[in-house]
Amino acid sequence: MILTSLAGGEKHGYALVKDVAEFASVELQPGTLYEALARLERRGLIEALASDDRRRPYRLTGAGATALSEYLASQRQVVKVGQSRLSQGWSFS
Amino acid sequence: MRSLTAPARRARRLLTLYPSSWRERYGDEFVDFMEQSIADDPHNAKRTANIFYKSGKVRLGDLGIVGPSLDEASAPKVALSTTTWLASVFAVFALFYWSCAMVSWNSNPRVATAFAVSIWMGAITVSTILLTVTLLAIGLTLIVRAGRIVVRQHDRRLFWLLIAVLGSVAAIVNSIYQYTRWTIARGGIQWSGAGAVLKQVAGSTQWVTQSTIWGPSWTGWHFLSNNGPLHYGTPLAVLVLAFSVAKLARRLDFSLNANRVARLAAKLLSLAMIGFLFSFAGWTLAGGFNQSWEAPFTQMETSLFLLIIVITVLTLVTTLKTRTHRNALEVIDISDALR
Repeated sequence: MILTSLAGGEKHGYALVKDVAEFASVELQPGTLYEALARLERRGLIEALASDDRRRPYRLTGAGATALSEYLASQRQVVKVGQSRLSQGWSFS
Repeated sequence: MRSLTAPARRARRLLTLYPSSWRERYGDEFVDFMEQSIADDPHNAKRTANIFYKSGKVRLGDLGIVGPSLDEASAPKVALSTTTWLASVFAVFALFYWSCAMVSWNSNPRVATAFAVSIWMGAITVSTILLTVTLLAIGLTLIVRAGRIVVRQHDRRLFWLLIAVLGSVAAIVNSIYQYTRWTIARGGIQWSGAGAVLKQVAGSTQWVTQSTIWGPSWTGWHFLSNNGPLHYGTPLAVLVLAFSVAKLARRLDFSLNANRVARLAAKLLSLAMIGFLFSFAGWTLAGGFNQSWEAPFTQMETSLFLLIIVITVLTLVTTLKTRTHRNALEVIDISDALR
């Protein structure tokens, strides 16, 4: 979710949480957010940008974009199979 | 602080839950985040609980106990630091159990014991010696290294840590003297034979460690009584010493070779601790746990097994730390090779 949010452009922590809440309806708690940011930064998937004020924006890296693309492709396959199986055995009115 | 708004004050209070290394990296943006979050939603118990839980995880990570540390390059010395204080606490219990087992095995008049009990007694002795000697070597190395830096560079933080170390060592030496005055009064250890010496050393160790661990509770001393500070001060001095030495390990810079030695020392500590528990279990199963052994434990029957479980958990944590240690060293080795 964080990678998806940053794919739309660089954001600082609070803007990131608001964006995730808007597109995924998930409320990221501060402790969870910063734990995830630290992990993604360590893996080189995102990077913190220099900032003059306290708000430090984060940006998706090339490796992060690749990782997100691969993850979305695998999820797309899951969605495709799930929809196909539902359409064969279930009908929704 | 008074000019700050209520959200800013709360944000700063919550920030203090995190360790200093984390605050240095994320502190400003976390406070900014929290100020906005608190302004939008002033009372959110789920948010506060989440920060308590995650900051606790970060603190354990900072000690190298769970997860990766924020700074992987410092992971080896973090591992040595945590291993040292865990092993120091373990060592006090290990010395106590060893001394009780030795007094029981080497009793007077000599009670015939099974050969297996003697073998396990030897294994307990070897692992206790390995643990104690390794801890002493780590402590002495760190103290000498820190002392040289204090003299050459006038490092004030290291100076106060050294004072804490030397003060706690002095307190422990004084406790040992006070607790073994009866032995000293009759002329010290009687060097009449190896068995007699071993028995006297074990007896003194038993008295010192038993008083250190259970002194305040079972002797019934109050802090303001004559010997109160001694009984309450000894366990405190052991803890101060363990934490101060661990802090020294974290404050000193380690070369790659020092990291390798630290890795070996952490492995030796883990090996000694696991060896001790294994030997102790073997000794108990072989029948070492007889009536004469039980005598010193009357004051702590119910807590004995709980303590052993706690010590086992500490050992497992230490062993996991050594793995982190090794992985971190591999990272350093690879990055050095790539340079």
